[in-house]
Amino acid sequence: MAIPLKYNFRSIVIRWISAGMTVLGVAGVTAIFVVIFAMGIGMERTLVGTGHPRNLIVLRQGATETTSGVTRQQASDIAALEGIEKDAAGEALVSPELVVVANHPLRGGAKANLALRGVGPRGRALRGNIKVTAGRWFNPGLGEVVAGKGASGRFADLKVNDRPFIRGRSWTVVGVFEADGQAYESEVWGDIDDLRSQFKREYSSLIVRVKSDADLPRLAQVVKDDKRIQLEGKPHADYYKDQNLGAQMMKAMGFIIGFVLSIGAIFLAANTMYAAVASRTREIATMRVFGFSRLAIWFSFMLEAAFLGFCGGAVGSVASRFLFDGMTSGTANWATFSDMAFQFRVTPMLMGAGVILAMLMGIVGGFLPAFRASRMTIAHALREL
Amino acid sequence: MKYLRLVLRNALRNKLRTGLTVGGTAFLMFVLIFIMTALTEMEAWQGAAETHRRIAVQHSTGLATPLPIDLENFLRSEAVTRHAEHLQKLNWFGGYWQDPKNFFANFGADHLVVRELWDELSIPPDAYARWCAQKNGAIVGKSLATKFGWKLDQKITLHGTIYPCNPELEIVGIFTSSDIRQEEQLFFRWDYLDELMGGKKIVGTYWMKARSAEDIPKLKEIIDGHTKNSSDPTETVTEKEFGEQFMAMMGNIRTLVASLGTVVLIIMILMTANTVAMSARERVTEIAVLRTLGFTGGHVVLFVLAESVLVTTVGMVLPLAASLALFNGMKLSPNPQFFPYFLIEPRTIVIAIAAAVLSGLIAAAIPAELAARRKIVDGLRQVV
Repeated sequence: MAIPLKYNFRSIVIRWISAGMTVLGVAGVTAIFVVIFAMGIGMERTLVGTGHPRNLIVLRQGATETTSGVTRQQASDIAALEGIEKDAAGEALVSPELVVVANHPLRGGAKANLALRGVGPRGRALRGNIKVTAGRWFNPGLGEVVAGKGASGRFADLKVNDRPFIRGRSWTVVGVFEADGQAYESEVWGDIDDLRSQFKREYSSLIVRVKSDADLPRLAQVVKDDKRIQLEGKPHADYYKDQNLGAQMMKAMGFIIGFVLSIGAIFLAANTMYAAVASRTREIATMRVFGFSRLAIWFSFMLEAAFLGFCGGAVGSVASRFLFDGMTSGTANWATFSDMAFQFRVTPMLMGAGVILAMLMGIVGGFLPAFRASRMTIAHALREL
Repeated sequence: MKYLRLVLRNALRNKLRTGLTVGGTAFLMFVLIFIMTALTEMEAWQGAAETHRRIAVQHSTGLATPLPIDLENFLRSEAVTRHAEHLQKLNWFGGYWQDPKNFFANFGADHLVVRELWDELSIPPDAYARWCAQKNGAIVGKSLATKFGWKLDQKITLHGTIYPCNPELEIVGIFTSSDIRQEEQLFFRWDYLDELMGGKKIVGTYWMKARSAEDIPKLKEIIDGHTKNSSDPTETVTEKEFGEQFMAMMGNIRTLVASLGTVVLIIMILMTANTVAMSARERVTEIAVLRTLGFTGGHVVLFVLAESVLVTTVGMVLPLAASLALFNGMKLSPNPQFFPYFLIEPRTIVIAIAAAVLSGLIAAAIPAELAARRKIVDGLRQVV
């Protein structure tokens, strides 16, 4: 027969200071684990998933959009290739683009690298998820730009009707757009020819919509081998996925730190449970006299330890959710050296993982103390003061 | 000191409890040292930068924009050279060797002033002479050469990611530095880079050495003032400010990592406080007896505090020694690409010691105070 849960619960209440400190300690460890992962998940959500599955990005070998260069000749040669989707008017779905970064003040006063992207007339359609949430889309030739929601929130002078001075001229912000939280939201978009004439640069990349999935690797090979082109073609989604270094780094950090801290918390839980067992020696013996089995006693203490862990995990996860979920932050995308806005994501899954981790801390920490409790001989335990 | 034996005996009385507390503290302390080192490692360059009086001229829109070659004439004019010397064109090449994963610092640099400008690097004189004679020569840091297994005279091809060219270099010299992190670089000649780029005269940054600390603000004024209304305005920064740009790019992640460290410290305090409170509760009678014997409340406070600090200090020594052995001794790094080295700085050691003592004191403060205040009769009467 099992020992009533009420017994454990009352015991915890009586030793509330010690129990409370243990719960808080476990909660702290859980919160650290959850917050680091929430950052990693947030960065990942920005990059992974960006890019239409049938889009190909064409760049110079090994380059990113901020360092790459594509000539007009190469661009028109690529647009003429077989396997590229056409729009209703029979034009190839290709967008020549130019990305430049500029050191621009943040709202707080410090500076960060803002990415400015010039897109061709089909650039927006090629993404398919760009929604204007304030103002309107830009018109070419007038120095008008639209700002992504993330960029608009982090940088100064990027609200509708602002006239930011970026790289030698002032531009007019005519709208703010959203893109399902993807990387584009950290950029400012304008017309490709406006940007090209301002920066006297060639294109940096070409976004191409292919007809079928099979055309993705085929066209990538063609642009590499064609003597006139000799560029690198990559599925657009992979291009962003490969920039996911920051998130991988965060998750790796989260694992190492979470793991080592959990061991620390296990020691804490063990200490508390040993003290609990020691102070209840006579109670344990009494219960054995009443006929509760060794297993029942072991189980009862394990349950108590797991419950302490659960409380800590719940407190830590819920607190992180309230304090951090949805918090907007930004960091450098080291692949492009431009600022990338992201949000902390304390997902229900992550909270669940935090609680499970915390319960594990309690269970592992409580194992030996519970074992000790179950091994006590009745006569010896009853005699003890 | 004469009470040390008592404190030690008390600490060792419940070996299991003390052991668990020391163990727990050790793991938490390891994380604290780890976090601190990640932060100092990110700032490492700035720390070394202050003593050399080097300044950089970069484009005001950021490092991605090149500077005009015409600026060199101005920077060599008397107006500037009065305050600075050893002008160098320095381009971040951003290339990789064989595989994009082999990412490291590589620059196209004016070779003639490398020794004077980067005077903490020791370049063997014959290697330097050979570099001056051989246009496709490159000098590499010893640590980098060891990492990639490069030997003198070896031919390597750098794959350009920013510049559309792949320099085929020959290693003509291996340099060393007092700061091992600076050995993670490769320099090749700016004129060779320019030749490969078809003589476009692209300049990433200009570097020079200010003649004195007072010259630095003057240089900023002179150079930035000169270019202010041109098509390529510049921003003249010290080496420290140059490094800080990259820190700023990280955003508030640093603040966040630092606050995680604080949370770890709080957990450590909770853990120790838990132990101290448990011990103090068990020793109520004993403390009352001590006081009957003539020990004062102050003595009791001292005993409790000393025991707590002893436990946290032992818990700090273990992970500190372990991480010094792993990171500074065996040169391990948790992420070799991001941190070529992960060296524990002296200030991290100081902070670790301070954190241990402080958490021991804070954890024991309340139990110590309670124990000292309790009336002797109450203490004697209490049945534990």
